Order: sequence, then C-alpha cells, then structure tokens
Amino acid sequence: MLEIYDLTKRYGDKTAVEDLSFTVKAGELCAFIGHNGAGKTTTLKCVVGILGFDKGHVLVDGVSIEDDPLEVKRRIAYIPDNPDLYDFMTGMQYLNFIGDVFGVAETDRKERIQKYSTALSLTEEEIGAPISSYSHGMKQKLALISAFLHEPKLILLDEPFVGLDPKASHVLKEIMRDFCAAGGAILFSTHILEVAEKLCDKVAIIKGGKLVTFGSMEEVKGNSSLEDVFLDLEENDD
Amino acid sequence: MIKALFRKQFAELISQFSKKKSGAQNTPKRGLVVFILIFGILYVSLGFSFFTLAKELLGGLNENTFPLFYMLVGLIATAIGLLGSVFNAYSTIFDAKDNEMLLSLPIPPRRIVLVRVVSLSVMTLLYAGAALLPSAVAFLFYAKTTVLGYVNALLLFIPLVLLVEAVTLGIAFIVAAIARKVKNKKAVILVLSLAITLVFYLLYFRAQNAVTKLAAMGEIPSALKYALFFYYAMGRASQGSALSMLVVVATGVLAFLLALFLLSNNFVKFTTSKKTPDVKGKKGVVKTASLRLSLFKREWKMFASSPAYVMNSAFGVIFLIAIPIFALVKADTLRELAHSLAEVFPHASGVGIAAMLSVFTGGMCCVTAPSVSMEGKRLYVLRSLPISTYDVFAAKVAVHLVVTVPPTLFLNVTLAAILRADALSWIFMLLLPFANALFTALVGLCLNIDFPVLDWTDEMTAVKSGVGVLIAVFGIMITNVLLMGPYFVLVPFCSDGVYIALLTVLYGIASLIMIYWLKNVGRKKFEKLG
Repeated sequence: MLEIYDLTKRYGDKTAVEDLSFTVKAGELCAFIGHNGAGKTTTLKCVVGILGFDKGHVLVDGVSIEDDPLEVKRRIAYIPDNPDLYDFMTGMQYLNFIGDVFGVAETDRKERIQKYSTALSLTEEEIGAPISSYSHGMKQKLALISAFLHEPKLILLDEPFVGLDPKASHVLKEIMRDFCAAGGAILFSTHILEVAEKLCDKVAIIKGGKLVTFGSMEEVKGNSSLEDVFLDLEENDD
Repeated sequence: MIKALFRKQFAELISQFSKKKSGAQNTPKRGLVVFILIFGILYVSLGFSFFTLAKELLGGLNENTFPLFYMLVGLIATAIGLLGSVFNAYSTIFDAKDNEMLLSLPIPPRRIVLVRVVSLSVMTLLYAGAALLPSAVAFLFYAKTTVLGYVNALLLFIPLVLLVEAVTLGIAFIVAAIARKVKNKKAVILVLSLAITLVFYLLYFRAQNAVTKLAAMGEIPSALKYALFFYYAMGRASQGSALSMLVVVATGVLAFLLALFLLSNNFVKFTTSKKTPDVKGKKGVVKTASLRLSLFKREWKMFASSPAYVMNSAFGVIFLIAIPIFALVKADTLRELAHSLAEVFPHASGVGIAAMLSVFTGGMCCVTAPSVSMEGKRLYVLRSLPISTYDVFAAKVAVHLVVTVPPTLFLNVTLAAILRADALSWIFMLLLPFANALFTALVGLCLNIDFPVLDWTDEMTAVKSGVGVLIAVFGIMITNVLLMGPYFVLVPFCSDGVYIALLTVLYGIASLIMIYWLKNVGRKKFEKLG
C-alpha cells in the first residue's frame, strides 16, 4: 500500500531524512518510532505531498506522489500531531467540507459520522458547535472522524493518541485494528512504545533521518520489549 | 523583562517584512530592504502631495486664520493615523494568540499592554507622519512665525500621535467591554468597529469641511475654537504660544495615560473572561455540495468570520455604496458638472470620470491580498487534501468578486443613469466592475503567494503586515491613478465610452497575464508553502 524508496529530504545544508526505504502492505499497522527531530514528521509530510523531497520515490497503492499527487491524496488521510482545524467553522461544517472534497454521498456521510462520533464520544451538539470552542482532545477526535470519512486506503497519523482521554485512546486503537483488518493500512508515529508494541504488526525505527531498523514487531523486538530495543539502538549509535 | 517583551513584539513585526520570498533563494534581509524601498517610495510620493497642499494652504492664510493650518493638518493626520491602528487595536491587544502564554509568565499585565500599545503607536506614527512630516517641512519654509512657533510645530506630532492612540485604545476598550458580554462576539466586534469608525469619520469630515470653509472666511469663530480646542491649540502653538503647547501636550499625554490605564486595568478581565462559544452547539446538518462550492464556502467563512479581515480588506465597500446614494441625492448637481465638462471637452459626458471613480473606489478593497496568509498553520489541510491548487485560487478570487462586484455595479449603474450614458458607455460600465475586480483580486493573490506570512500569532499580522499586502494595497491604488491619465489625453478625440472600453480591455489583458502566471508559476510556489 505504501512504498518508500531512498527518500531524502534536505532543509538547506541539513539532511532531515536520508535514503529512507520501507513498505507498509494492505492490512498492516506500522508504528514509526524515533526521538524528537529524528525525521518522522518530515517523512509523513513527504508521503502526504505537503513537502517535496530531494531524492527517492513514494508510492501509495502503486501511484507516485510525484506523478499524480491528487490521486494519491484521494487514497489517503493524514492527521498532524497538532491538528489546527478551521476554527471559523463548526465541527459539522468541517466534516461537510471534507466530505465534499472527497465526494462522499450524503447517506454514507451521515452513517460514518454517526459511527465514528459515537465511538469517540463526540455528541451531535458538540459536532454542531464552533471548532473555536473545542478542547485539544475534541479537535483530535474531529480530525479522526474526518480521516475515516472517505474510507481511505492508507492513513498517516502523527502522534494520534496525544490529547485523547483514556476511553477515546482505547476506542481509537480498536478502530485502527478494524480498519487494517478490513484491508486498509496505517502508518503512525508515536512515542508511546507500549501502545506500538501491543497494537502494531510492523515497526520502523528512525534515527537522525536514517532508518535503523524495520520489520515485523516479532522480528524487531525478539524476546525483549520494544522499549529495550529502542533504547539499545539509541545507545549503540551514540 | 520589558526589553524582552519589546524584542519579541518588534521581532514579530519586522519578521513579517523580512520573510523570504516564497520559492526564492534571497536572504531575509533582502525582504526588509525591498519593504523599506517600497515604503520609502510611497512615503515620498504621499509626502510630496501633502507638501504641495500645505504650501498652498499657507499661502492663503492671514494672521487671524493662521491657526487653521495646524488645525487642518492635525485633522488630516488624525484621520490617517487612525487608519493605521484603529482596526488593529482590539485584535492586537485582546485577541493575540500568545496572550495566555504571556499571562502564565511572571509578567505584569500592564507591561504586556504597554508593549502592544507601543507597537500600535509606531504604526500610527508612520501613517500620521505621512501628513505631519511634509506639513512641518512646508511650515518651516513658508510660514512666518516666532522661533518658539517653529520649535512647537516640529514637536506637535508627539501629542497628536498620543491623542490618536488614545482614541484608538478607547474604541478598542468599548469594543472589548461589549464583546465579552455577547455570544456572537465576532459579528458584534465587526458591527461595533464599523459603527464607531463611521461616526468618527462623519464627525471628522464635518469638522474638516468647517475648517476648510473658514480658511476662506478670514476668521475663526469661538464656537469652533471650543469644539476643536485641541486642534485650535495646535494652531496657536504653531504661532508661538507656550501655553497652547502646554495644553496640547497635557491633553495628549493625559488622554493617552487614561486610555492606557483603562486597558491595563481591564486586560486580564477582557482576555480571560471572554464569553467563548458554547461547546454544545445546534445539531449539525449533513449537507453535500460540489467541491468548488464547498471551497468557496470555506473561503467565505474565513473572510466573514474575521472582523479584522473584513475591516481591513473590504472597508471600501462602504464608499462603493455611499457614493451612488450621495449621487442620487445630488443628481442635478452632477448633471450640471457633466454639462460644464462637455463645454470644455465636446465628447465628454462625465461617465468617464464616473468610471475612474468606480475603479479607484473598487481598488480600495482587496480581499485576496491576505487570503493566503490567513491560512496560517492550517494550510496543511488544503495541502493534504485532493484539491487542485487552481480551485483554491478560484475560490479566493470568487470571494473578492462577490464582495466587490455587486456594490461596484450599483455605483456604475447609478452614475451611468444619472449622467445619461450612451449605449457604448452603458455596456462597458456594466463590464468594468468585473474586469477591475478580477484584476484587483489577481494582483492581491499573486503578491500574497509571493510574500506569504504564515506563522502569525495575531491574525492582524496576516491581514495587515507583510510586503505583499503593502504592495497590493498601494500598487493597485497607484496603477488605477496611472490609468486615469489617458482619459485626459483621449477625451478631446473620443467619447467616454471608448475610454471605459479601453480601461476594461486593459484590466482584462492584465488579468489574463496574471492567470497565466498563476497557472505556471504561482501554483508551484503555493505548493511549496507550509
């Protein structure tokens, strides 16, 4: 579903991501782990088409982001780490906007909004309220509903659990599992290694813009914990 | 501490003018140089006009009417100075995104207010200075007064700017006091700001009119001295009166301190106890729309929900509506003026002048000039969705057209009807608003793509600051003035209709060039933003 080959992104003299290659297949849930400034967000933004890159290829469902960015964007959903939404809209106006962009039919739209808002405990009145009145967690929930609205093939999430209450976090994990079980793929960055370990089939660890390890969760962690593996990798390279 | 606050405030202000041009490799310093250069040219051009005006005015005064000079200069500078800060004060002081962060630090609120007020005062000074500085130079060269009179004349800008700032802060205080008690805060801020500003300008125009008339009468009535005592004292100070100078300084300083005191004492209350929208809204309705309509609705909401955006980018709409209403009231006078014009230029019907007025007034609105900057940190939404950049541009231009074309058409139809335009003039008076509005919208959009300001903490920074907005606002104004020139060359040889047709075609051609640029260059630049 997602193929990244030799991805390199530079900001002036600084190389943020260097020769990064890995793939996420349909049905897989992949955690993207690294310390602050390792290049996770840059990689996600390159995949989404927000940032251009200097070298490499990114393919989503076989379509290149460079050759046909709009077609790639039709197949994905992206939520950044701190979703700044349109605070001049209500939650419902925002969802209608996203629905219109993806051409989601009215009945499907109603059904999906109902399904995900109930799951994430966002009431109809809250969805009808201005986004400017939302807490960080509510914005995160609205962004998540919008991400699932058009049934994308690949979802990219940057720190999706930040700001969510424990119940919403639990529900989100279930939604993510169900989405992948139905044939979708998810790549998400996180610092919560326990969540990544329990939830994901695959893990990619990035350090200083370079991929240091990638594989199935079992291959990467073996008999130890993901936290131990991550800390070992950090220390070894130091 | 106060130094750190000042550094932060001015670094933010300066950074908006020293951004890298999007997609270019030039250094931030170069952006600042470009800004200073453009600002300098505009300032010198404006200054020259005010110098000429001041020189003429000084020539017509006698000993009795001498104070009228600084009365008039003071009134003009007040009006221009208010434009620099009156629409920004509320947003800059009470709506800055870093208010909560600053209040969480051990900083006395009065210092936060002081720093914000000083930055507003700099803008007021820059604007008011455009009239005050050249007038003071003209005064030094052409006025005959005492040494103290000359010294006072040079120093009068200080109390005047303080008074203008006090008025600005007073308006911001009233708006903030009312806005915190109402539910639909943004709409109330918009209506209040508009109403207070309109009342002020109404009073201002009446006062200026009275002063101008009196200049010809040869003496100043006592009633006017009391009604405009601050400005009269300015005039007396320029005659060398130490007492008047003292009155002016004391009034300016006291008014400023009073306004500062009011704001400082209420800053925390107004900032932290704002009535925020209820998180329990009405049940939302699922509605479908086409992608383009949805983009337009999004763009419209971004514009209409921001009082700062509306007031700074579409204030000219008031004139577009007021002028035809005024013209209807004074229809006979207008026809007489057109008749006089026809006596000099046999082909002229006055409709050409009406077209110039329409173009100039329409050019006072540019909704697209800050439209890219207004996306701010939310730009990722558009960039991550399957939306063609060209559709985004179209939505931005469409909002400008919706805001400006209907009132401009109203103006053109009214004036064409009053002046009994011929068929050709009628056709192009109906087409001109579209061509001119499209041109204005495209200029604003192209410049904002080239000079975006996306990392703002105060919405006003996106709306008003930045090289792009500055060039758009003044560039459009200058272009429109330059396009008026050919009228006086052409009018001896051809009809007004031909001139209006020419104007329409020129705006159309310029628009086509900009559309080509947007498709081939602007699109790529926009896609690299964020």
